[in-house]
This record gives sequence, structure tokens and C-alpha cells, in this order.
Amino acid sequence: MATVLKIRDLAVTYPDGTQALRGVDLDLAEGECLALAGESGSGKSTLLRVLLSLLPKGSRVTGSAVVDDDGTSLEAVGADRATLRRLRGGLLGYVGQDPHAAADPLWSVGRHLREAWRARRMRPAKGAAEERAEAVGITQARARLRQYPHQWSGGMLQRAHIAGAGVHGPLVTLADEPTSALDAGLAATTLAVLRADARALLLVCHDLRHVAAVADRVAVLYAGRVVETGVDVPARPRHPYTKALVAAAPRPGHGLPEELPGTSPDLRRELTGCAFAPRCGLALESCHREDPVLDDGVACPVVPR
Amino acid sequence: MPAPLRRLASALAVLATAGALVWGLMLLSPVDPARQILLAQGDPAPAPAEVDATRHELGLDRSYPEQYARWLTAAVRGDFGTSWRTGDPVAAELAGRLPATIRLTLVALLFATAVALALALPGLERPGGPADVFARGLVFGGSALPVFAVGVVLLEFVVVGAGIGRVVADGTWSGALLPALPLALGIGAEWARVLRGGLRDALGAPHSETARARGAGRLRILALHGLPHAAAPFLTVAAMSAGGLLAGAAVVETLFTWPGIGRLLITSIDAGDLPVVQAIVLLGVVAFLAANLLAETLTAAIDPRRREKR
Repeated sequence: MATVLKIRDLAVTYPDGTQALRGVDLDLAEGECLALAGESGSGKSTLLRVLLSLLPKGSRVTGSAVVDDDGTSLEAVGADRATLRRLRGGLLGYVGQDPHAAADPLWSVGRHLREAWRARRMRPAKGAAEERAEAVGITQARARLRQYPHQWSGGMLQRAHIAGAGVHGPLVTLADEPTSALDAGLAATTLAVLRADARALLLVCHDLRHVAAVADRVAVLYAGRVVETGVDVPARPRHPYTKALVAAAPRPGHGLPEELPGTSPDLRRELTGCAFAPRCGLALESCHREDPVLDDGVACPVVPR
Repeated sequence: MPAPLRRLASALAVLATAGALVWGLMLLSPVDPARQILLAQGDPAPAPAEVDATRHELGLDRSYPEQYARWLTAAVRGDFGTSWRTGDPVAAELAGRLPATIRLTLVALLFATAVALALALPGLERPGGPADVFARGLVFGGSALPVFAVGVVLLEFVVVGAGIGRVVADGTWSGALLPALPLALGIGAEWARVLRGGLRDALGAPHSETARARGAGRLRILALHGLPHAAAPFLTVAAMSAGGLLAGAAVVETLFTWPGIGRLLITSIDAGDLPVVQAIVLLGVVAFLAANLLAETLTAAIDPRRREKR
């Protein structure tokens, strides 16, 4: 399968000096679902925002993120207006976190959906919005689209956002914790709808269990770096951080989950060595000096290959 | 009761209360209205029989509740009695002055809106940036300046000094430009503060981010998401300042000798012309209530969540 998104050595520093991403390499293939996991502050959302150029003014971005559409390569880092117009809502679809917050409360859901065309200076064909809504499982679309967001449930409204994100058949759909505001049962079906509607999906998700069902591959971020990537990460974590992350998830009948010791590093300071070393029970002396590189899917010298 | 009816009912209740208070002024006045009217109509020394006849004609020999009921029904029809100063019907005096004040007010509102937009918009692109800090400084200065001070400075330097405009204003549209300025500055600065806050909230909200991610341009997001969201708090504050506008008009109209209601109010207070004062105060209350009613109705029309709740 062709690679549609190629991220190389991507680094982001926010205006306050926080290094949200520190040299990230990632590939996304057509038809694939890649999940980005990690705690809040690990840089997951930053990665999506770089692609859409939604970072706050004054942020510094280096490296490259190329969207490859059938031979035409578009560089998202430092994109000019013309490129941005092709990326936002065109080649890149976006689904946000909280469906109610992401919908303008003054607009009907239908107007919101049709805005996906109008924002790109197009006019939706008659019935096109209803058709999109039905495609993501919204029944009686004609009547329901006339209602306002506060009259909709979170799960259904998130489907409307998925419909809006997919209007122009984006090459890559970016979803930023799309189920964190929904209850568990809805989360699974909403993710399934999202998965089915997207051509390639970059899914930010803090809950590794949800990820397992839909993702083809998982990349775990810690302090702005990919520490582990692989097909079977949620079931068989290898990196000490991922192991701790999996152990920190509550499981019924297993007592209280083990909490991660220590706190996340201060990303406004220059880090030396592995960012996880201070919290890691297996850390070697060298871990505090040398930053491990991704080797065989894990960035850790301790893990046996 | 549906919301619009409830709003109307509460406005009428406020109006009735204000009406009772305004009528009560008459009871506190040491002046005998009947004698006062005869004096105003050119009788230098009214005979006691004449005064009694007029008192009966005016219904002043009836009980207070009866007097109030008569006054109220007349007021509802627009009849506020006779001016003690000129002997003319109060309604006619007001009607002659009203157009000039409406002109002044409309021009001031237009200016204030322009000031609010001019001070609120430039800082949005980069909150805390130079444009934002500068605009906020102007907002602070603008809301701190008293109307009369701006008015005096304008008169002294622009009208007298530079010879622009007229010292004695005539109440026409073009004459309204200068007097409207001091009225508009303070209000516009106040509005700018509210507008800026509303716009910043709306443009920083996740739904604006969604719009950006979908490729909507800045202007589109500002016009379709930002302004409608900022409109509700803006309209509320704008309606509240309608009261202040009337008070400011009294100052500005006196300063610029503008032939409007505000100057009539000052003249009438000076002359102890109670019926005219009563009519103007009630007119102010009506204007204030109408502005608030309009603001609430518009807010409800903009926000679907307000339409059905209760």
C-alpha cells in the first residue's frame, strides 16, 4: 500500500519553550489506521495540529510532514495559503474531541454539515448533506439535520462531525480523541464508524484498550518522542513506559491499577538521555546520558530483541 | 406564558411602577398646578375663583387615586397636560424636540458601533500583541473620559478654535456629527470591551477550530461564528447604555445648544416645569425598556438554546 503521510524528524517548540515534539518519524499507509497513544502532554494532539497548521502563533516547527496524493507531495510544515487550502478539509479531514464543543451551538446540525462545503467555497448539491449523514448511520437525516446540537446526543453528533470531515473524501482523517467525551459503549461504535468512513486514519487516543479494536498499528508517544511502535502494542507492550501505561489501565477483578511512579518531565528544559529514565525501574546508567533511538519498534536499550 | 409575552409583561410592570413614581412627584411639589398654568397662560395675577375653576377642570379637587387614574389614562394617550412654563401642551413641546434628539442619538449609536468595532477587531489576530495593547489603552481612556469634558474640549478647540461646525447647533443631521462624538466615545469604548471579550471567547472555542480545520478563512469564521456569538453580550450591554445615553444627551445638548429633549429637560428642571419633566422621564423609561426588550428578543432569535428554555 502506498504511503500517504510521511513524517520525518518532526519537532515542535511552543512559544513558552515547551518542546512538544522532539524528532518524530511516522508513516501512514493508505487504508491503514494508526493510533497515537500516550498521556496528555505527550505531544499526540500537537502532531495533528502541525498537519493542519493550527498551532499557536510563534510556535517553531522543524522537520517535515508530507501528504502524498497520487504522486503530488504536499509539505504541511510551513505550508503556504494555497497548500493549506488543499490540506484543510480537502486532503485532511478533522474530527475533534468533544462533539458538542466542536459544533457551533447557534447553528443547526445541517448547517454545520453543509459548512464543510461552504468553508471551501463550494455549494453542497441538493440532498448531499443528508446523504453524507445517512452514510455514517444518522437515520431520518432530513428532519434531524434541522435540529440544533444541544438536541443531539454526543454519539450522534460525533457521527455528524465524522460526516463533515469526510465530505471531500480526505486522504487522511485526523481524529483527536474522538471518543473521550462519549461513554464506553458509544465509543466503540463511533470508532467503528470513523474507521469505516476514513481512507486512512490517524487516531489520537489515550486509552490503549479502545485502540486495540480499530488500529492496525500503534505508536506510543512519551515526552514528544515515539518510544514504541508496532501491531500488537496494547496486548504485548515491550517498552517499560508502554508496560506501565498498560498496567495503569484499570481491569475489573485485578484490584487497583499500578500507578506510574514519578511525573512527566518538564519539556521546557533541554532533556539529556531517555526522557523516561527517571521514572523507569529498569534504567541503566547509560540511559540517563544517551537518548535511545527507535530500533525494531522500541526505543529502549533494555528491551531484548 | 411564552417568553416574549413574559418579557412584555415585565416591561409593562416596570413602566407602571415608574409611572406611579413620576406622578408622585406632583404630590411633593410645593407649587399649585392650577395657579401655575394660569400664570403661564399670561394671567399675571389669577383671581382665586379662576384658580378654583381651573383646579376643578384639571380634576385636582378629586381623590389621589382618581387623579392618578386620570393622569395615567391621559399619559397612555400621550397627553401629559400643560407646560407650566409656556402654557402649551407638553406633547407638542416634546414632539417639536424629539426629531433632533433622535438624530443625535442615531448618529451617536452609529459612531459608538464604529468605535467598538475599530477598538475590538485589531487586537484579535494577536491577543496581547502591540495592536491589542494599544486598543485596550484606548478603551481604558475612552471609558474614563467624562462626556462633558470631551464636549468642552471639542467646542473650545474644534468649533471655536478651528472654526469647524457651529456653536449654536440647528438639530440637523450634519449638525449632529460633532455633538454625537462625546456621546459615542465613552459608550463605544465600553462596547468595545464587551465585543472584544465575546469575540475572543468565540474564536478560541473548539467550534472555531473545527471551522479552521475544515478550511474556512479568518473573515468567514469572524463573520459567521465570532460576531453572532459576541452579539448576545454586546446587545445586552448596548441596551443598558441606552439609559446612560439619555443622561449624556442632557449634558451634550446643553453644551452644544442642541434643540432636543435633553436640553428641554434641563430648562424645564430649572423652571420647575413639572409636567414636562414627568413626560421626559417617562419617555426615557419607555426608551430604556424598549431597547432592552429589543435586545432580549434579538438575543433569543440568535441563540436557539434560549428560544425554548422555559
